Amino acid sequence: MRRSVILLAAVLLLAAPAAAQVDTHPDGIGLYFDEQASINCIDMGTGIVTVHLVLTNATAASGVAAWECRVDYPANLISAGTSLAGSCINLASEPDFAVGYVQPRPWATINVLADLTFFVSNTSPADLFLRPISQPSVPGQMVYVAPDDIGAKVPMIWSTGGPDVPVATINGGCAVPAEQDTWGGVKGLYR
Amino acid sequence: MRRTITIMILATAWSLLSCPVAGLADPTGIPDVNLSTATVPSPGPFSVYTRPDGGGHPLAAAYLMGGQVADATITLHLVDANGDPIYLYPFEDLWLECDAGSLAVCAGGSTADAYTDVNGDTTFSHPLYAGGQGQGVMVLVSGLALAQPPLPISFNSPDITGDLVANLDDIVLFGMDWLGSYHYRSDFFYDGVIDISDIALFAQGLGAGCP
Repeated sequence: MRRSVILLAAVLLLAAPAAAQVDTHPDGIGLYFDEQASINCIDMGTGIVTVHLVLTNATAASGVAAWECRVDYPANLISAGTSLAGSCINLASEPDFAVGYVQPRPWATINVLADLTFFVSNTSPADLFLRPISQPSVPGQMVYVAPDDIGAKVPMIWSTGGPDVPVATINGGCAVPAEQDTWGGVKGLYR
Repeated sequence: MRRTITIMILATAWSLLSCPVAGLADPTGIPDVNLSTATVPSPGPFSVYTRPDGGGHPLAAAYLMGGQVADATITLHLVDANGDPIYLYPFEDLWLECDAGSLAVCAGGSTADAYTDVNGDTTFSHPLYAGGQGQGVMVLVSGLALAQPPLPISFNSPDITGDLVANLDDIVLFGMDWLGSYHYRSDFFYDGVIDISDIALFAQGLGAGCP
């Protein structure tokens, strides 16, 4: 009996899904409710919530010298403060961000660029979007530059598809990663 | 008697040859700013991102318009009035200034790389310790500019005001340039626009001051 319980516990532990990074694509940008970039939708009552702006799988190995994007959110979210990671300056006015670092941000698979705190004023669904800033360096794109190649503007790719697809949701449906799985990948789930 | 006269003539000739009379030649190694020259490897024009703390880019890694990196090392050939090279001229007495603009240089912040060599040559290739912005480089030799057109090199800096420290005053000016019309002073990447690349270079220079 005791042996069975231990075995069952082991099986359950193995079966429990580890928090996995949602967006595995290069140069992904998304909003997440955890710093592991694995949760992009939550349900909650009124109150305070922090959402992390995260660059994932950056292709520039030297890190990030500057970046720009815009965070759009509905009226039932009230901004309660923004904390930018690292020693930096935001030249834009929120919700636009055009951020340059005094010391470049080192490379990381999951690179948290900013923490945005909101007061959720009611439980209506709230979709958050990422978009190019009002005066983008590259029209229609969100970009970053690496310290070893300042001139190359690297596009950041929406974690869920595009400017009109929410990258994070509160009290609504969950966003999905940008790229559909291949048929082989889907079949692999059932092997 | 004739032999004595011959000896006297020879002695006089020798003394004239071995001791040049002042005014007939300039054997002193004094630089001549009309004959000395300063050159750059290519026509340019170049732009150099500079900072008061010396953390900017070297002249050897300047930008061409469009952001391509190019060598803008200045080679000075220092000669005297005879056209003879001047050896071991002190680098501290060779420095750069700009013909136009408001380049502000920290003490000793734009001197040559080294003493002149046996050919009378030295270079300016290191980063300047400077703020502000300036166009058209002149090489000065002990305070006298070479008698030649300015070299096609411009400088800009996160220390936009030129007070030799990059601080809040500069953020205001850079912010205006980023949102407004083009100003070279904020085009650190030198591609004709002020965008995220310039923000990166501007931010890296914040807080920089003279050593």
